[in-house]
Amino acid sequence: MRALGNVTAALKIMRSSRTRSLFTMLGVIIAVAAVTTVVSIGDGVKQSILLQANKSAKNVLTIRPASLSDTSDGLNKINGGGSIGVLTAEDLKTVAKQPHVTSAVSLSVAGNTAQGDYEYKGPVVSVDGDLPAVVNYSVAYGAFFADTDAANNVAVLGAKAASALYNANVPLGHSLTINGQEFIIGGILNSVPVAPLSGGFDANNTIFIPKSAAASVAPAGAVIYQILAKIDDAKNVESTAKKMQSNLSKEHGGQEMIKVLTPSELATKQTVTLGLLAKLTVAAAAITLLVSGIGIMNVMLVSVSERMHEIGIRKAVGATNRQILGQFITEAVMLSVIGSILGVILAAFGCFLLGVFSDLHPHFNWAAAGLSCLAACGLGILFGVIPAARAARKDPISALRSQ
Amino acid sequence: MALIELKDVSKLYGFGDATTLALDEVSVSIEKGEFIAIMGASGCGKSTLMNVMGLLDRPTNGTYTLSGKRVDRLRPTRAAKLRRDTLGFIFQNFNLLPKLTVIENVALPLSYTNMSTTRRLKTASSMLERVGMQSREYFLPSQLSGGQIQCAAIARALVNNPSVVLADEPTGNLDSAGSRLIMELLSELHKVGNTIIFVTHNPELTRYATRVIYMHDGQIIQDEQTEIGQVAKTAKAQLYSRGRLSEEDDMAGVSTLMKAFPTAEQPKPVAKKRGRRGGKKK
Repeated sequence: MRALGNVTAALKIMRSSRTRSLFTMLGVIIAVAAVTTVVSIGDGVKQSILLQANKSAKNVLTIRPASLSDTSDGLNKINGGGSIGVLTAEDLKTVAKQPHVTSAVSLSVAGNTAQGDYEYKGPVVSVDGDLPAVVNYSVAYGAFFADTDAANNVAVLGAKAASALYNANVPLGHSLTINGQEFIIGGILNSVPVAPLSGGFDANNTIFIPKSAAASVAPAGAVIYQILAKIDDAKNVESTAKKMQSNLSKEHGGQEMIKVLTPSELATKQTVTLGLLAKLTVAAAAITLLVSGIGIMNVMLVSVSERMHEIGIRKAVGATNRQILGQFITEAVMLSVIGSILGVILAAFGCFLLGVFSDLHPHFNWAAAGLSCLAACGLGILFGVIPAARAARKDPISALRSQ
Repeated sequence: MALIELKDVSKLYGFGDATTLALDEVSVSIEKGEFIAIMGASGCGKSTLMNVMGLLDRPTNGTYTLSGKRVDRLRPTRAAKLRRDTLGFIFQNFNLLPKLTVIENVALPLSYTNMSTTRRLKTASSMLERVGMQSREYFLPSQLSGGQIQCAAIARALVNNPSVVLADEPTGNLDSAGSRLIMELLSELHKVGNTIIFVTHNPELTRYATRVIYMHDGQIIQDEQTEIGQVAKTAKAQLYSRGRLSEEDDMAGVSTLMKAFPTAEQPKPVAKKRGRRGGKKK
């Protein structure tokens, strides 16, 4: 009963000083909205990764150096240098020899810039002509180079790389310079669905060149960073992966330098980066929440000293210390509750806009919304206590005297 | 048994060289149903005495017994509950909460009890009716005249049915019409059996009291029983010893007009809903 009275009284106070209340709540609003939106984006991305994993070939194993399999962002690590060529052509042979493996291709990084109509920074990857067959890439224009083309300098572009390099819509037959070596565009891939923010290898940005041409582009030798192996049947994937893992380890002297990843493991790896991003945002939002809690405390302290006379009157007519405490804590909590609600509304609106205007498709996460609201309310209580206690302890006579 | 019993009550403020003796071993006993005026110069300790009796302040020394119970060393929470249940306060500057309507202000003491909102507002409404303010229930204090605000404050003081009403210069901020309204109202309350203690600077107002206590430098220097309708003798001496229409009289606000009514037929204050400017008589 009395709590309800406190709530209505608090709402009345907030109504009478709207601007101040709004600015006080701003921190809470931003923090709750940020946490909810980022977690929702993460959820959306995770879902599309899983969807992609389900859609794409379920019977392809990915073999990577163990140091790179920690994150999905192997390419960047290689580009950044410092990586050792753990995977060798021998490994490719070993992989191809495994039972149930129908075909295997290696992907090596041959460079990271190319010059078409424009200069382009993106991975240049040398592969076998089998690649489209292994990973289900389809060619929109032209054709993927065959192993018979190996001697020719033919390049195949990912959809995004094609539009970034050339003015022409279909730059088939245009020339491309990679590290001083000229290539002719022989094919352009259809756009491949890639989950946003997953940090995974994005074929759309990639320039593919034949393996045999790699040597001319990268004199030091292209480093194999990944081997893809197609398995004859999805039900053999797990067993083949295990066997392949042990065989590869044996070849490398028993060291676990190479990791064989099944499609589902790969999807999990891809979400790791995302999880890290989400954690960072949550940490930032936690700091925002903390700061907004201090903001609430500040405003409540000012409010308490402004309303000292009111406190005096209330005490004179019989309010106990505890009742005054309750009143001011309720006010602080109401600030954070309403702030949280506004934050959730803002997040929902933000997710909606992102869903409409970007390729992220946030999946509104109610748990994150609820948890951040709870955290905000907890902070409201925590930071409301100090000003409220100050108000409650005030001696009625001196409170009445202050104006 | 006396309702209020103060024995050798002292109150000291400050410490060291700056110590002020606001009350100096004051002993007084107040019976139920008395209408007491406390008079004295500024700074003589009237307000401190009121605060001690109203449990807003603790005496430094001495004992205070309220309805037979020692209350001079109460914990703050117990004191607050006693204030809520047995005491009513009327202040010089009204002390209504400006953001609450009149009825919410009047219901304020009840909001610290377990009474339901509906019952609170009902009780407050009937109390406002008693002071003739029912038509102003949903006004804000800023929309009322001084006299009306003080009427509302009286309604608030009475809403918890207190055994003692303490009024610290209730007419200090009012013009003559407002003062008269308030004193008439207090007088009505006294007639129905309330115990009222008020502080005043205006000797004329002792007409309403049954007993006048004079204070000086923190001590009670005289305690005089008086007839209702008569200015107390000591107060009268004070009144006539100075210039009748001195500046102080004007400041006190009421003296000239007050002479007109005590014997004459008085209009009921409840019928008047006049503002500060309503002082011009019909």
